[in-house]
Amino acid sequence: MATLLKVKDLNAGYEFTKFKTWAVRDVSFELDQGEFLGIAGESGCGKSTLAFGVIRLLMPPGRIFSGSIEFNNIDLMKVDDEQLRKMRWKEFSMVFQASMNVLNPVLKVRTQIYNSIKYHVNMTEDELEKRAKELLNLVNVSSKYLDAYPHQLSGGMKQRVVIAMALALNPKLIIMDEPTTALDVVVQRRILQEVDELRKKLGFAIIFITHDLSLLVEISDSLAIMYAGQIVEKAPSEKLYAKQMHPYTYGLMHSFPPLVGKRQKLHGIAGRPPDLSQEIKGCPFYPRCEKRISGVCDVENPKLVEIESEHFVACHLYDGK
Amino acid sequence: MKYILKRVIFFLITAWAALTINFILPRLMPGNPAEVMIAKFQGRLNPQAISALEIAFGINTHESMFLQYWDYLGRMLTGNFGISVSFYPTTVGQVLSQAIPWTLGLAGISTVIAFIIGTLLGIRVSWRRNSASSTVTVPLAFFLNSMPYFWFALVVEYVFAFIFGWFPLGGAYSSASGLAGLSLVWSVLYHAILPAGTIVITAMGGWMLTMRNNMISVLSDDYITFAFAQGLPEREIELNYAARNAILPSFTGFAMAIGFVISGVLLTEIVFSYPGVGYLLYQAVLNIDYPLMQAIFLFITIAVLIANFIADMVYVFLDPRARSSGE
Repeated sequence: MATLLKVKDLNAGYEFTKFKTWAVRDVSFELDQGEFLGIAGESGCGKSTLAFGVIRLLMPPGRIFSGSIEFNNIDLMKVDDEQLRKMRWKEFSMVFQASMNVLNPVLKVRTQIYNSIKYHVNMTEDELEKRAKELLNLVNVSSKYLDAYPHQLSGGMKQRVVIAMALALNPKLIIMDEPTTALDVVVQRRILQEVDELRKKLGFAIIFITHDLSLLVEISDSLAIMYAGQIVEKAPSEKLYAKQMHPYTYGLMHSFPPLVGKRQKLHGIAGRPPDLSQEIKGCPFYPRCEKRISGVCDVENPKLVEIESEHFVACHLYDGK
Repeated sequence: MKYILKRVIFFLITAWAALTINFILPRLMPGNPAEVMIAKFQGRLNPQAISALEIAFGINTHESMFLQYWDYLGRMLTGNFGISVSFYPTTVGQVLSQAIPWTLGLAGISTVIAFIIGTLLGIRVSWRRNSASSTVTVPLAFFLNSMPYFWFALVVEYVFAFIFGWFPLGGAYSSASGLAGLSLVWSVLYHAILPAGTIVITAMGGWMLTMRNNMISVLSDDYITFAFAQGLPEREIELNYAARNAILPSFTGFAMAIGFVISGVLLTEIVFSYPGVGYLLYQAVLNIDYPLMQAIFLFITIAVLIANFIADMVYVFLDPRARSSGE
């Protein structure tokens, strides 16, 4: 399938007067059209910065330091603000982490859906209404809520409205940044499944960001694991589920209990992730790694290389050093 | 509807409480207006005249407190505030009704102008937070806002009216007779420029800073980033997403300010000898004019209450969340 998004050596982070944080470090990946890519990692590993970065939505003090982003063969780093504004929502949309708070509290759901459409395409009032109803139907929200204010909706409903808005212009890519964190597991699952069905029906690609790996494993096509601002492992989901090559992925995968099978002792990952405002020498996972090779891992940061077909790992255990 | 009913009941109860306190306070003070009048005439009054004055001022010490209170409520409701001491024998009602339009016109309009200009500036300044004009405007606003008003007004009066003579020294309109129509309107505006200007300049900075602070906290809210993600035009985000939410707390402050307009212009009216309620209150205090003071205090209280009531009503339209929480 054709490549939709090509990210190369992206460095992004937050610039303060006294220091700078590199939350995304030399990240490169590609996304096919219609692909469901899951990005997982613990809190503060730079997942959200990456999500905002690839669509140039980082608000100050956030900034992209270097790298290239190619979307549908357009260099996103080179388009001007007005062009970018026109591309937003039409080409790529985003569902936020705190979807509870992303709706403007003083505007009706109707106005907010209309707004997301009418600044990009010309539609009459009737067409807008028809489209808005269609969208709410798509996410299983009754169209009578068009005239409701955000505070009159439940958390799950707000989430669905936001997803409906993200679908409004049939974008090619939807970035979902932990969209279901604030919801309970049952609703989380249902929404995720619905999103996946919509994806199959409408054909958009998804970058789904979460710290909850269990949620992703069975739905996403491929998975990328982030640690300290870098992608440490990327592979098709079933491959990654069957075999975790990076010690961090292994630790992450074994830190939640399986639903079936014998009762077993859970392993966490000892230690804490490194401070992203500092220069990191060697592999960022080195201090916490159980399989570290001193003299190698603490000297050189391993690169992300394809060890098996489609299975990329950044670890010295596999690059023959 | 239930919300409005609740507000109405609340309004009536507070209005009653204000009336009652206004009744009790002067009675806790030593002396009464009749005695002041007697002192003024320096023993040239006979006992009949004294008792006539007492009745006229509504302070008949031979009646029980409860009867006085009942009487007082009745008089307040019918707008009979008694007779002014300092403007004897004009009734307080007449004196007040001559002063109120001036105050409402001067202070009311300048407060509204200050609020509008200040708020618009606040929106602009916070939206372009790092621009050169913002860096200059904000400290300037702090300076204007923290300047003692009476001092500023005196300086303005001294420089522009006394030294340069560009503006009249005081009054609300030219005393030259035969003014009518447009020339009267012009005369009124001409006399209002200095006092209104000082109010706008000093009050504006406060509104600007309030709005700026509100805006800055709203700008970090998720729905602003989400609006950017949707590719909405900046102007739409600035006004309908950021300012629309940021104005809510400002608006409450504005309603309060409108309520305090009458007492707030005291200094303006004294400095510029403007014949409004503030100037009147000053005169009433100088002349120990109890009936007039009582009426003005009552008027201020009622004005604040009405302003609050209107603010509550309008707030419901501005913030949809207030609608359901009140029901």
